[in-house]
Amino acid sequence: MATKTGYSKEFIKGLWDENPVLRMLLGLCPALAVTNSAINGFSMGLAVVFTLVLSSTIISLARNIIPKEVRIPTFIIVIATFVTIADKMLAAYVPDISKALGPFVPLIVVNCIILGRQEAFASKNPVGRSIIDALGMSVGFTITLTILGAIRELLGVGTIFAVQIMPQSFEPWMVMVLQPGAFLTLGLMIGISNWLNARRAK
Amino acid sequence: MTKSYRLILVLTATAVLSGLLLSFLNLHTRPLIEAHQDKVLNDALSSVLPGCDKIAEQFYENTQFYFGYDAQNNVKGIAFLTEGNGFQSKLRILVGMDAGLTQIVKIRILEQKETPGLGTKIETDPSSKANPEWFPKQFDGLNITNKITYLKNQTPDKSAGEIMAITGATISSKAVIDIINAALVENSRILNDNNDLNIGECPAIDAVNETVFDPELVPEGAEILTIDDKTYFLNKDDNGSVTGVAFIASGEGFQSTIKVLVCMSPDFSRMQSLEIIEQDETEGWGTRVVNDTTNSDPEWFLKQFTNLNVQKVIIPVATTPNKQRGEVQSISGATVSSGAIIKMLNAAIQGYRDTYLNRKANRYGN
Repeated sequence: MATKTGYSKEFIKGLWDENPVLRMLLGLCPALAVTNSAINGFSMGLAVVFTLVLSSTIISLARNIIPKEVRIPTFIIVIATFVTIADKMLAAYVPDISKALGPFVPLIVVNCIILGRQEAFASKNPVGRSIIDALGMSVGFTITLTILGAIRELLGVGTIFAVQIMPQSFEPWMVMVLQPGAFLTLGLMIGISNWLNARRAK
Repeated sequence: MTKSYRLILVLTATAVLSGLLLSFLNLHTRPLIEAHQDKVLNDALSSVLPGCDKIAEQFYENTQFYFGYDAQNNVKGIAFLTEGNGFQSKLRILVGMDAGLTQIVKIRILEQKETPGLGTKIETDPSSKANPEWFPKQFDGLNITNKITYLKNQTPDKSAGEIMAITGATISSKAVIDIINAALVENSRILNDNNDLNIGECPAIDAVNETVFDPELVPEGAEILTIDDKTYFLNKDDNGSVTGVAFIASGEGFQSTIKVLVCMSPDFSRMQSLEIIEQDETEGWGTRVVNDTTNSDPEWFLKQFTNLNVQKVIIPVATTPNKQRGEVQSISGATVSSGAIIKMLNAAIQGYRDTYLNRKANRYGN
């Protein structure tokens, strides 16, 4: 039986100990590609929250029906369905965000975090735990992408969420909003998280 | 139930449910998405065709134009949508021009996913608080009788068609200018060919250059037009509009040089006729291209070219040809001769078409 502490542990692990981007190095494609501004990273994160939570719910409910031989194609169909729903809903109700996210929403289908959670967790655990796990993982992903986007936007453009932070005299480091900036920032973030973990382990 | 049936059942059921769900969703979201796209386009149209009471769509040569009319039903402006590649994304730009096609009224960037903070300045530049849309606004009232050019760190002159490029986003700025330049060339040609708008004149017809061709080959009553090294014969009706364009092409057949007179429709989409001027192919075999005595219609091969669609290449086929698809039946026993004609036509039509159709556009050149 899952206890209350069990649930919160399930949630917290996605934020740090098993953070998909920083600890498991999953979903790096969107993490690198869309994080040239904080809002883009945040919106991508939200789309992943939606897809991951709903996919995990369905997969967990159906975990005893799906034969293991066809589990991967079944997961993919379920994930692709929710991604398409998310994509269409964004385009219909918030066209501006849909425009900003561009081709990255359809690419959530191949985001390995989602398939990974179905395979590693939702297909083996009851619904409640699966939803909490999905929430933890996707919120961890969202926070990481938002921080990554914020750092790049701050240094590359001088703003965070389009709010001017740096003084007008600040000369933006253009490289930060270009592809190399993504690798540099993500590399440093992973390095710092490893360093913090190593210190904590001592 | 055996295992394999279960596999099929689960996977099929999942796919069917997914399909059902998505089609219902699409029923619901599609009108919203389309309404949004229409709204974006209409907003953009009324901004690039300001002060127009009515905007009408019109297709010419597969290109959509938007004509803005004033209260007296006079054309006040013309807009078109164009797209091309920017630095890292596709740019879709709506361009509004005055009715004389001498000035841009306004442009709107409808779609771009350029580098945030740099290339995105082609649409808005948040670092310029006073005038975030300074880049697209430079196109307002820009002279387009010549190619639009770009400058760096100098004050541009609108009457000379100059635009200041964005520092750090030269490629995106240049892409916008290149896309608009290319579209202006093509679209003013289309408008010129299809509409009664006066947007410049054809180059003057040069004197007959006898060294280039034999004047005896000029079809009767045709006017001669020379562009670069190419000579065209223009058939005109009583009003002076071009009804057909002809030129001479030649190439190697099976054993001789084959020379043909090619007549094209003025837009070069269809052939009007093909005549063989000169050939010395194998008697009874290759000569069937002009006179096939084995057939009830000795000129069946040449007649195939009448009204042939040549928007793409001409394709030789062995079976019943389809003119709409540009197919021509080869002569069995004279495949080389008939193939040589098709090959020569494909090369010649392309070269003559590009030069002819771009003749009006050349006024944008140097």
